[in-house]
Amino acid sequence: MSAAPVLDDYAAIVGRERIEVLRRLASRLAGLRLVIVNSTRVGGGVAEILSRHVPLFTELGLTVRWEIVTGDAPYFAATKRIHNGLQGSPIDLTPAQREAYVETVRGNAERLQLGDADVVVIHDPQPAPLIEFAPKACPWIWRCHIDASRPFRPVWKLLRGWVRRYDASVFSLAAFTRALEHPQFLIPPSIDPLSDKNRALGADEVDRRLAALSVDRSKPLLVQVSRFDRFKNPVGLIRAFRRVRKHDACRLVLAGGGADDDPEGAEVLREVMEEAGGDPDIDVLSLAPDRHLDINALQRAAAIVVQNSTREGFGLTVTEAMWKAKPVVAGAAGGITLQVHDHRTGFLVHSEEGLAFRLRYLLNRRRLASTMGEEGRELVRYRFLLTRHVRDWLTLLLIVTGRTGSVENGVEK
Amino acid sequence: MCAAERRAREPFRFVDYEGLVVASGAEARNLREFLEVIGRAPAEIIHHHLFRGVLEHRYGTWDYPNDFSAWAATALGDPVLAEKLSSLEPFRRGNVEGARAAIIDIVEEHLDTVATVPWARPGFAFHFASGMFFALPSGREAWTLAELREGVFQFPLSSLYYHFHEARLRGEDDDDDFSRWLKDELGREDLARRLKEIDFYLFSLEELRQRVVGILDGVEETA
Repeated sequence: MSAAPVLDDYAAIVGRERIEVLRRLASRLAGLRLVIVNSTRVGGGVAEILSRHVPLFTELGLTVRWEIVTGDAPYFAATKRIHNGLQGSPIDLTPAQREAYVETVRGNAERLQLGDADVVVIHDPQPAPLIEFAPKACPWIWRCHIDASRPFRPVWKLLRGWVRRYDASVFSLAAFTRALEHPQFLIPPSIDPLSDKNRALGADEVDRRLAALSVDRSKPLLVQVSRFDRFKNPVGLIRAFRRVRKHDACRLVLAGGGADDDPEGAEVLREVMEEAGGDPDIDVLSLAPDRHLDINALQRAAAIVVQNSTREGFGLTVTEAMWKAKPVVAGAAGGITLQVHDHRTGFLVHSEEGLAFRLRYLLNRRRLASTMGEEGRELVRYRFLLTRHVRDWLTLLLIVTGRTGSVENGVEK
Repeated sequence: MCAAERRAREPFRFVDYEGLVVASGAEARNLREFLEVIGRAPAEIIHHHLFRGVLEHRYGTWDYPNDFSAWAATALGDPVLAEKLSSLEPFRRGNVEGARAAIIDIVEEHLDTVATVPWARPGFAFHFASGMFFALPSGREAWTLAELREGVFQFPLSSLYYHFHEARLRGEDDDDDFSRWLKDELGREDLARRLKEIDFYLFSLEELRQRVVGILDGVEETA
């Protein structure tokens, strides 16, 4: 891969002035020591976002330290349960698992030395208890990427004990927010248009990569890219696909990888393979998390991209598909509803039958599918690209550090 | 275009307008819940949903001018209510409390006419929010009409919102910042008047930008 993109590289996509705005905002934060903590550097949307934010914040003059909490299998088993509980599953967290969770974070607090910062940002529940064990001498922000709109109450009660100590929290959309005393800011996530997963690919490269993956393109492809996770409902998608195929020739590709912090992936993959049952029109591709160019090629080769989620934090794979000008048919869950607008950028569905119906609808309306794809791309350009996301975070840092100032007649007072 | 060459004594200063949406935690899943929250919501929340919704949309698919009417249409599937809420004219109503009273009247009257309380489709509850927004000097100035036009053309749409929408809420004369400057600095009352005539509450920011640039170019935009 070529050198990582710098800010100026984004001007061709979003316009020079937007890049200048980032520089002006960041000039008020020069030298700010920002510490970011999450649970993995590889795999999943959060790690992907942070891997792009950190170099850009650094280029903008902030002093950024990106740390991850480390833990053993019992810790990640506990955090996966907490994650599922936040998404509403009635999970059972034993006292031993709770202890594994808290004690692992306590150990991380000693290792990470978080006292030396101007702002600390903690992502998701895995490291959330750090605030109990680290010295707190600056604003702490909790960033929740999860659809916690209907959490399993005991899990939220446990987590709330730590979250309420933060100075602010950030959610992807209003539906995910909880009753908290501090301000809850809304910042949707984003994709990087210049990353390997999203940059332009030539038709030849798309062809070559699909051939290498042994994906037959003799029929239109329906593609779902996501971790093998029950909330993404891949098994339901296979059943819907079989309804579609009774009427329209097409093939289904389910592509995904695991994340370091997701121990359930292998189990769900087995369930998917079992449901697919060797069907020659279904490709189930378990890809390593760094196969970004293959994912890019699969999305570009799709006639329609599907995201059959029943719960979703935001659904960055939807954003990726829209950026590639693909119509999207997706479950009306979480952040997907911000992106998929019925009859504009795709369709929101609520059932297997609805999913099958809309897939058939679009397979038979290629021109409409193309128009929807183009509209989706423009929506992403305005709302869901990395540059907007960086701007929101700079804005938040200005707010929590009290550096917003005020203006009269265009001049700072 | 001699007027385009005229130089101001004081420049027009473009600002960056930045901010974030802040969730209130209050939500409405049906119209009765909506009415209940509207009645007690802080003014900033009403303000946010009446005015700042336009910051979310760039293109001409701007069917509904405020978050309330958009919700009535897309979540409740109630075009009659959406029509009524679209007809609010908050910039001419004087203050947020006037708009709040009008919304309550519209919703109460509507509830009187329907057999059942309209419910939002699953996943589309109305989430009441406010905003923390602020302006910062950008360092960019316009001294001539041509420079003003170039700035409007290039600057982020949030800046246009600040100078056009927010200006009316800040000032006492119901003028936008551009009109004020054109009158005071360049003596172009003709352009100021035409800018003021834009029925801007109906437009997305991108549409508004095209109209403003068209007027500054001396070219009338037609719908």
